[in-house]
Amino acid sequence: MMYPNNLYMLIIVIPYILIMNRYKKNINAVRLFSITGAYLQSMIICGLLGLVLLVIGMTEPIVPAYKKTTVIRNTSIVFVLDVSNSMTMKGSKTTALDDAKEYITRLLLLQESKQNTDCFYSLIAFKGKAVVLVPAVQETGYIIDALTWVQPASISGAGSALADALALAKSAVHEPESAVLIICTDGNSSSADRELIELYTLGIETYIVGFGSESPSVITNSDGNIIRDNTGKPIQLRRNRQQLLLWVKKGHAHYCDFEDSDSFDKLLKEILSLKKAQGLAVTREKPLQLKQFIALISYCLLAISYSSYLLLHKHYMEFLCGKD
Amino acid sequence: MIVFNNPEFGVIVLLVVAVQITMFLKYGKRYRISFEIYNGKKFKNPPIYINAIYCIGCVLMVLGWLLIGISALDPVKFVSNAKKINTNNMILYILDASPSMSASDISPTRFTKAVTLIEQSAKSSNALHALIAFGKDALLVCPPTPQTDIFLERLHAIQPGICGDGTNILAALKSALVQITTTNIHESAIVLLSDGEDYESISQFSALFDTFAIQSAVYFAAIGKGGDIPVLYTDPFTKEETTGLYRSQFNEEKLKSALESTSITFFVNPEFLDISLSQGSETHKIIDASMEIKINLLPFAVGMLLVGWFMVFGIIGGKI
Repeated sequence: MMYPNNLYMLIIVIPYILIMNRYKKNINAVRLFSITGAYLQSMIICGLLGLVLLVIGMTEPIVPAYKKTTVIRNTSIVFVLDVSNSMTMKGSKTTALDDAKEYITRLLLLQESKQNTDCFYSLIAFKGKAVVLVPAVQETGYIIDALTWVQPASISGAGSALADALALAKSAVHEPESAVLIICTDGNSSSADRELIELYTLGIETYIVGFGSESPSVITNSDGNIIRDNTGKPIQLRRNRQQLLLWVKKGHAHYCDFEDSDSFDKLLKEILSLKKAQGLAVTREKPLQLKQFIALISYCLLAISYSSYLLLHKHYMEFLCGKD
Repeated sequence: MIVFNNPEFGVIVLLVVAVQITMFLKYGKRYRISFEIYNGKKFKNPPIYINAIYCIGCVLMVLGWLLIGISALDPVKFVSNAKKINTNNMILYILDASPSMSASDISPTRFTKAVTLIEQSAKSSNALHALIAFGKDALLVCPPTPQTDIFLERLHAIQPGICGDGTNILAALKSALVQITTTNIHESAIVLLSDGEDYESISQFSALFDTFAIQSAVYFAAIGKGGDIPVLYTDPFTKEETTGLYRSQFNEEKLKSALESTSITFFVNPEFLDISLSQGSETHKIIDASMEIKINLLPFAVGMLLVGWFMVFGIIGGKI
């Protein structure tokens, strides 16, 4: 279930049962239950099932590994780069941001040299707001060029608008089932659970790559000054792997540490296989949304409930006319 | 435009509606006896507010129920300018952003007219779009992209004077040549929109295209008129406003003669940009997915259904 919190809405079942019980008693009060009992029961039970299914539908359940055959075309590779001040923390050589830039550049160069087919690349950077640095382009050179100049000072405002960046990333994708989204961040951003879930349900493969050192280090602002808290103590941050893994779990994404060569190879392989499969029908495991099926069943159950109500009405009126 | 991702469910939805209407006509109106049950009490002549609550409740329940059926079809909204893009074609616009483009001889200004022409062309064309702005220097504002929304966003961010004071057409040409040669696009068109007050560069511009034998179709849209023209220029950096009369050097005949020996298509103050590119193969076309918006009707449908149900059964206690 993508939104399990919506299950709290099942509480509506309690007033439903109470009100329909009162209605049942009212029907009993006019001594008609024996005639209309079956229709009344059918009306109440179908209505209840329909309601429960609707609440379940609102949690947006999915079948996570549904084998689906799709034609791979217009592959989109979208890079979402965190350029917030926290990315100025210590990385492998210099800063986490420099590591991220190097990682993306290496990935682009390697995938280009091995298999060069039609593919769209985009680069989105986020800090206090998210900005499309390079819209969908067919040449990797535009991305590599943008990586050479983008800095925390390139985007105004403090903060880490990952959710906005993911919303922009969604619009850069042409065929969600042929898209790879690579988020390069240190995990010190505000939550973007809803957007990650949305990307997953669309069928976009999301990779979250964690950058930054394991041990805390100071961070600097756009002017290069060390950022301090209210007491004047330097703020120290490190890669927030716990947060990153939580996002991965919620968004059914894949996690990679930037220094892990195996995960880098896995990501490269995913991109190359997508590029190689251009124009071919490929069977892959993608999420299948059940919301529409559940809505249809619920729609039919509510229709049965209403039909029972009409039949109840018919028998009741026949009884009244006979009585009169 | 609204389309459905599960149109096959429509058959079931319509069938169920048809069954319900038939049943309603057969049983719902057979006996017309007003008779409400309100908290266990029955009355034959209900007050008007009881009937009003009942009617509104019924309407809400029916609408909610129908919306549930529609949400099963998975409706998606495509905004009107959603379109297919041919990735084999590219139109590279070169926009003059020199301060002289603030002149208002063309209503409202030369620059606004040029921006409008590009916008119209980008919306109607199905090619990739790229944009270079130039003044003293040239700037690649948008690389060749199928994302028309981003292209237009960047187009509207340009202001006269943003690339410095001057009209360096050759700098823009250099940048255009880089774009044409580095991109692997089969067919491209270069559209230069300028007031063309740099005749020497215009001549060199046309000569260079012939020298490099560039396969792109080149269009030159000259925007402006001659004479003394009122101008209101706002410096994009200092926000300082300059007003006064500006003596335009625009000369249509001179421009024509500079370009007549070349294959450059020349327009003067056009109403639209008539750019022709071949359609290419269908297999290279993509849908601009940025224009797709999912419509989540289910929460509204459930809300309406519950409110209606509460009015009919919770307040009145049902009506028979």
